[in-house]
Amino acid sequence: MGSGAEGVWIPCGLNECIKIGRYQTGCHFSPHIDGPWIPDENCASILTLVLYLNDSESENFPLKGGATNFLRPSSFSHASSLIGQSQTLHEVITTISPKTGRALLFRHDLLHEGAPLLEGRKFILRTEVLFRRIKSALKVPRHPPSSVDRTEKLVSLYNQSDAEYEQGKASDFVESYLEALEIQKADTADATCFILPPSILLEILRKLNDARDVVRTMLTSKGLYRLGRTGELWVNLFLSQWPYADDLAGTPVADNPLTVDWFKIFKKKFTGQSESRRAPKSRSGRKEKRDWLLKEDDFYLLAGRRLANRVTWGDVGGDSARPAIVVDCGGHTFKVGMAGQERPTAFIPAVVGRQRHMHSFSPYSKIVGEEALKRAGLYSLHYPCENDDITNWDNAELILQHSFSNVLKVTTEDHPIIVTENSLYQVSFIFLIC
Amino acid sequence: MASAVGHSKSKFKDIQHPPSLLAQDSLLDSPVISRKDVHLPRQQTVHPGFTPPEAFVLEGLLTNEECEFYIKESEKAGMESLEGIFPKEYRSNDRLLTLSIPAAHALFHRILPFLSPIGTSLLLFPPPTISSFLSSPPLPPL
Repeated sequence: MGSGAEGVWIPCGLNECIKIGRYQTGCHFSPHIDGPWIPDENCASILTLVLYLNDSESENFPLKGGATNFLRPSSFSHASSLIGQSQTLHEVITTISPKTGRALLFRHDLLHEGAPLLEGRKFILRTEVLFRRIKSALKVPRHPPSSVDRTEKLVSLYNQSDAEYEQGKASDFVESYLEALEIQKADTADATCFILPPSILLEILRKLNDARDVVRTMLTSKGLYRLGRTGELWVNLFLSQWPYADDLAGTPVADNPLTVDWFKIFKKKFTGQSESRRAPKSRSGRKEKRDWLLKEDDFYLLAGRRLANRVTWGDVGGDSARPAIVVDCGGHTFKVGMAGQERPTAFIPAVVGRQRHMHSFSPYSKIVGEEALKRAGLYSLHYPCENDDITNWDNAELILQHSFSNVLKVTTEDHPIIVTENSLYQVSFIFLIC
Repeated sequence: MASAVGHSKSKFKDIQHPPSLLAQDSLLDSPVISRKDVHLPRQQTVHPGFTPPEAFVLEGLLTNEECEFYIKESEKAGMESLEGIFPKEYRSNDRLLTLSIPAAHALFHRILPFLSPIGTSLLLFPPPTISSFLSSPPLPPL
């Protein structure tokens, strides 16, 4: 599927555009690979579905020949054009012959052909199986794009192919389509990168019986942090640490055990205990030893400070160590900067460029601001604002994400945010950007 | 290939879909379908423990009557020749495009038990599909 297709994909439906093909005697389809249909960033077709509607024993429409052959790609060809190359002889690996009601499903990027029909008429129904990318607790490493030039070439080839199709230039359109497919196939990531699914990681965390190890693991990444907050882990740790605890540190466990934050309960119990131990030691003047228990400081050092991710209403300007991010969402430009500076750090034109065609992912499928204006030919431009009101929240979110992570290079968890507010803003948007 | 190129509404024709396909509301209504894997040499290098399926065949996805229904309907609606669109030496067949969400939905529900997730992080630990549950041997008695 080319660059940008990393992650876990689950089947979500069939393309509702159903193609019924009829091959007359002598008709064929030369060796080719299928092109993916990518309606949006997280939805793409991966499998081709070919359904044969008749076979050699059909009463009304018997046929002969017309099998689907899977071929070994041959690298040697004299032909200069890609259409010409597809006419060369390939070695057949497997043959699937038509049979009424038989469906053949295969990956788009397998080389295959529709062999010439010897007799009768062949009917097939074909469509694609769509898959949706699911969110994983772990970040999937992005396959680095081979190069910006290559990606832009891919985008422009697909655009060109679409345009030539509209103009009815038969061979030109197929030629540029095939060339784009070649680039896209070559850029497909090798499936050599393995990441354990969250369920397995949780199983590993469950094996740790020292709370410190769990907390350390949680620090390594956001995904592991969220995983480490799983209540079940801390119930088990709590019970193994204090098997006979009956006080539960005065916490309300009553109503719904699922809504209780066991991490907090564990922490409270833990730090409460360490305080009572600390008191006599400090009085004796000895340097405090780090025993196997976690101190309250450890918790803050390890996990506590990173918990801050909340909406703060009211005065947020006073903290110079963590200056507020100031955002002004204007209809023409978004102004972003840090509190305490005289001028905004950046003026970002309120424009989002989206890829025109729907045949490939690219790392630059959505670009923002000046980049988008520069590449207005390759991308279609969208504006988040109309008459100075934000109307397209998705686009506004893209611009804000870009300004936080690429321009200001800050994490929104660490800084309060001040937004100039229009009375029509949705509350959900305010929470979204926090 | 190129099926997705240049969608414009006027190209689509309305055809009837088999009533038995649209009327099904559970897996129990669908015909008996069996799956066969097509063995192909690997094109990518993956972990030797697990090779994700690249191609497979489902026998009996549509019944004979449903297939015949589609042939008759498409003949009635009329096919469009691809001669002007694709070079003849590359591809020569007739085609009919139709849009139908209910039919796609019904077909999808027939093939869903045979599909499995695809992706980078599932290669080491392939999840069981519904069909592997169905074909797994019964549990030993207690």
